[in-house]
Amino acid sequence: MERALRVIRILAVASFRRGLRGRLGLLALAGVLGMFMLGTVFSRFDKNLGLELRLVLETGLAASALLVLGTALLLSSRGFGHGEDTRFAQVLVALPVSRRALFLGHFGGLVLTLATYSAGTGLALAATVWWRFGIWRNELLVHFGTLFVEAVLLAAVVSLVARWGSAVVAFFTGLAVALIAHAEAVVAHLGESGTSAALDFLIRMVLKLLPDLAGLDVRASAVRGVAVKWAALAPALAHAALYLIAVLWIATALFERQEI
Amino acid sequence: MTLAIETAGLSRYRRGRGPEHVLSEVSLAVPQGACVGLLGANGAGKSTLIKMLLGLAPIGEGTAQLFGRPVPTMASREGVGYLPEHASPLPHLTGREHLELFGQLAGLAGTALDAAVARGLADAGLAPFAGVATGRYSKGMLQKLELARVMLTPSRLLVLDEPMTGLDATGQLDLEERLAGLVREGVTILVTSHALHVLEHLCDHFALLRRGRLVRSGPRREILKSEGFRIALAPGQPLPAELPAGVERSADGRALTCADRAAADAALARVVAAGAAVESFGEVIRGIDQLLREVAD
Repeated sequence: MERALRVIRILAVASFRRGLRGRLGLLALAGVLGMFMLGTVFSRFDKNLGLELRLVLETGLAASALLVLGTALLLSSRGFGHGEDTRFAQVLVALPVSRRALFLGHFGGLVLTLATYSAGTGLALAATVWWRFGIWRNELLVHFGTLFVEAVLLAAVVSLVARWGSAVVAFFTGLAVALIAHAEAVVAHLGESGTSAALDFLIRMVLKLLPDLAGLDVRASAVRGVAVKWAALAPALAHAALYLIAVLWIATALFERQEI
Repeated sequence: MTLAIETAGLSRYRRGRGPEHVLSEVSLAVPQGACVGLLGANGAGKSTLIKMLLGLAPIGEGTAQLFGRPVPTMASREGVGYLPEHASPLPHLTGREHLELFGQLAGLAGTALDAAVARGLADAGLAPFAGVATGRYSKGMLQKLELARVMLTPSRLLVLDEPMTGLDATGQLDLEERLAGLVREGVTILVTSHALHVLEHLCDHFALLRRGRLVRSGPRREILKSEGFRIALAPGQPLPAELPAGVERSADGRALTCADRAAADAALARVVAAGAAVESFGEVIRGIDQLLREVAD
């Protein structure tokens, strides 16, 4: 156990370094900063303080979500042991360490990268709002916390799909999962609107298979300054934790049996 | 003594193609301290065999053991160093970080890790490039880095898939010397290479695969058999009127060949007595290239 934890820690740090040093991450970061600036510039044309603030927050939050979720999709869709990683993974698997630890170490690096992006963009946006309007919004930090959880869930699902498919298949499957999982309320509403029993069953199955990202979405609260209801958020976080454990368990079990 | 590598009836079918084998009933026995050249044409099953031994690919049928421990357990991979063909470290890590990563995974820490990494970089001639990302390394530098990674900590078995790839002539000679030194220290080596001359110098055992089957394996003296003796003469030399029984003259009259040593010695004595200048005299050993051609046929 001690050895496995050591392997996870060492690999997570290596994978984290890679995540931070990738050109894609730097470009995305530059894109987000650009959107922050754009929001700030546009807000100068509006003399109403409430609308100015909303403009900055809306553009900033949208850009951050694009960066964090996009990074989760791109990094996890490459799949450990596939593509350019194949030889590196072969060398690791030939070591006297468990494959489960290797997979979790690689995933740990991804989580650290997403945490850095979430915290970095969150603090940057909070600082922009503080500098521009002199307001500190705690809801912003809650938003970036839940965005991080969303990204980790998405990365786990895409990592699982990447066990079978190519990077492109995993990426677009992940994108579809993110879109549907964000709109679960709409999907659930379809099931309640007098559809056939078969369609109703199918919809319920889809709802069970997908992570409930809609429950973690507190963007509206962050923009409007409404206090986040923990009673609503806590079940969503518990669901996310259980979902994450289940998906990682299946993914590692597959990785243990896979030819590298 | 326990064998370093032992396989019994190791087989694997091609996925989704019925009974077609990738590897068929390979039974191999490699003693500890041997240096084995694994030979075969492309697609003969060399990489599949290596992958199965290292737990990278599942075993279809049969069994395999490394130092008496069943494959693919983690214990079987203790003390095993592996160099895959076309090594590719993570491109965003520097050479030093790459070696540190594997040193840490091997249990090194603190000054022991620093010393091992510094020694590895210096031996590979990569010390000036230690802080450069491996994505900017040339093919030869990557191969040197990977060899440094394999030799960072002591191993009892090294599995090297095309270790000479990307190395210049000096690099190849250096590696050959280092591997020979490791064999003298008792390290078992399983190596595949298209540089046959290197294998011929280095290996004391050979295993030949053909279409997934092990067609020949054993010590060098059994695999590379003697093809008799040969006396080479300078052009225009007088030959003795009579040659011992079993000695044959080549068409151009510049070489004498025979199967056994006594006849060769007798022939040499007569040639010298006849006043002919001898260019060379010695046993003719069948080379690996010749053996590979025979197996392919």
